[in-house]
Amino acid sequence: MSQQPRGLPGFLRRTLRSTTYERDEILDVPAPESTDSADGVVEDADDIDAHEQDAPARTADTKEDQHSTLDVSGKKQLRTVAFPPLPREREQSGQLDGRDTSQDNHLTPTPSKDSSVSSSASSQTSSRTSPSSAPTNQPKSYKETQFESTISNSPIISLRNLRKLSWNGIPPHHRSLTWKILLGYLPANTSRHTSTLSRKRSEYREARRQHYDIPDDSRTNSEQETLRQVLVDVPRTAPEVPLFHNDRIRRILTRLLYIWAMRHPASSYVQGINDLATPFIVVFLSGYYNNGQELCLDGTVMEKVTEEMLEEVEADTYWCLTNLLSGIQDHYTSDQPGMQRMVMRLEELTNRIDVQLCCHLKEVGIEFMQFAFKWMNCLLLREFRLSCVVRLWDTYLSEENGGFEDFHVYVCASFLVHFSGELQEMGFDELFQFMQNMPTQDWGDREIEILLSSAFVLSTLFGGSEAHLNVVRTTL
Amino acid sequence: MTTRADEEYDYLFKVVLIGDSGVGKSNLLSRFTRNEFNLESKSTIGVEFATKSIQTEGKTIKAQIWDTAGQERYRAITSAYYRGAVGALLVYDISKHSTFENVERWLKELRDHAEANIVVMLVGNKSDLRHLRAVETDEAMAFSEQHNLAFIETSALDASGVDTAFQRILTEIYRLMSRRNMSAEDGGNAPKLSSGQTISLNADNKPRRNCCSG
Ligand SMILES: Nc1nc2c(ncn2[C@@H]2O[C@H](COP(=O)(O)OP(=O)(O)O)[C@@H](O)[C@H]2O)c(=O)[nH]1
Ligand SMILES: [Mg+2]
Repeated sequence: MSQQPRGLPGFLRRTLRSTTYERDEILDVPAPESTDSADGVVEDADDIDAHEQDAPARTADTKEDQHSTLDVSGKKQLRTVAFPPLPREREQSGQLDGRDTSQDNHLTPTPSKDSSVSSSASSQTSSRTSPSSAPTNQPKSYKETQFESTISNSPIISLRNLRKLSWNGIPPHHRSLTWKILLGYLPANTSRHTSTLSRKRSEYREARRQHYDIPDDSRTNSEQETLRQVLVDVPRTAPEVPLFHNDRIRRILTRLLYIWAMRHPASSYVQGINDLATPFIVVFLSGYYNNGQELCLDGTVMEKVTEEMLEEVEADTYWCLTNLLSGIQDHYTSDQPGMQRMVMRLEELTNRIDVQLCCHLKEVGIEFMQFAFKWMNCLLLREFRLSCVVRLWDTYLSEENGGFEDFHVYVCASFLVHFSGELQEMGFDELFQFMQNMPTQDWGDREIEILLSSAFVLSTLFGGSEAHLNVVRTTL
Repeated sequence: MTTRADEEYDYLFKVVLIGDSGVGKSNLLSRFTRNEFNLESKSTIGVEFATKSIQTEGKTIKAQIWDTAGQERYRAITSAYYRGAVGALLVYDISKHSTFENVERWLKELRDHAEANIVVMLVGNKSDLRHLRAVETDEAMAFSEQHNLAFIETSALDASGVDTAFQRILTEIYRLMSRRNMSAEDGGNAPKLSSGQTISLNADNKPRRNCCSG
């Protein structure tokens, strides 16, 4: 399968030719904040454009690959030139010879670099979570170094920096903490993390006592109906991921979905919300282990996971899911007005970027609602592998104004238009079935990043006011 | 990918699968159209769709089957898909009595949103779960007679009854349609399955590359 965004309409391709994909190269890069004044950090921040990508962490091969796929536009050359040797040098002096202990020290002030991991578990897991043992064979990438300095350097994390870094993907072992901060579950002030966590986790325990750990016959009919629906859906949640076959995981998923439903009666449990909880469970569980995502996805991690850890993951997932859903509340309330609005916006947007495709869809009689409803309802969890969604959500979470609402529509449009050529060859039956089962099995982070980049370009073209649009148009 | 054989048909009937979530609608569809069963299929969000052609009384009938999400919240969206449907398989789970109790509610959905003359078949799925049976065959049979529905028990898991269910409802739709067409030709104004219902989709699906694609 060709990885190029074949479907991009001509004008967009032209835009991409003159623009690089990096968000920061398109946006104004804010000057580094003066609070982050540790030597080297400022310098890094200045250079952020040039080597934002974690290229050093990849093999030369993949890097090359990545560039050729990003290259809808002859950007390849541009890119290769744009990579200064700096990250490589840094990684050599900092890691390979193991001499730069001072850097390690200031990056890792506590034994557990993920302060979202509780004290109860950190004693058991500190050896595994200790960052000094983190990238055992791999040199620390430039991106990781950036994250470490942003997270550990000052008691107050610069949300702006964290967002900016996260947009391009969060290194796996910073993800658990970063997601919690970006979702507003944890404050920017790291000294308050421990107390916040223990308060929220005990609040959750209380909610559980109140709503879940009660005899079934004290539930109302509608509560029983909700529980029944949750119990029907939990075994059907992410069945392709072995982790979700685990009974203990299914138990926490059942509980937190049910409790969420009890506490949000306006929407209550709606099918698809179960899907939305899965990235949190994987990411938070992985937070206890170095490079733990694979271990988590295939379920082997469950042999080691203690009840305390699981309880924490459950509470954290509950609260983060709550925060995520509070931003898109009317997607799941009666008649799902938010969903209808999102689908309409997708249709409008597609009409502007690929009118031919829209005409074709109309001609064969397919409505956007028929395929895009699921994209909105499950935030593309049904379209991509879970690990791809995790990467996608790094960016969504880093968007300041509603990545899951606003930017998501641009991602969906890029996704649709990516297949434009193929779709226009298809009649109703074929097209509908194609949409039900999009060929994304071989997609990885790379493809997701291409998708995000073209979505970003779309959002700059079509996101702003009309005046802004005109400016862009005239430069095309 | 649809083959040419699939594209040549005499009639196209739209059939919807409805019933509580978890009763096995999606698996009935995949069993019938692809001979697949999946113990851990994901819940259906919105609507899904598959087609299969069958032979009956010397005619080729292409069934276009729409599978809907069962949850209440989705009714506003899914009810739109009843439009133009000439048949409905109303599915319950023989091991969960509540799904049978809800059949009345689903019939009301159909009365509110579907064509008046839609052919409805009551389907008791998961007949393989004998030891867990909560709805007796007699009870369901009596109910279906009372409401003038066809009735069958199926198992998407062991495939029993699945082909028969689809074959029977499609044949019944076909017979009804031919009868109505005849009475219409006789000059009566009995409701007939309007050609619009079958042909509107037909037009979209007319073999586009009939002769040269393979
Ligand atoms: N034992 C048994 N299980 C079934 C049968 N049909 C479906 N299931 C299971 O019931 C669950 C729900 O099935 P699904 O087709 O998704 O139901 P839907 O929500 O009505 O579409 C899945 O775990 C299926 O594997 C059946 O005939 N027998
Ligand atoms: Mg289903």
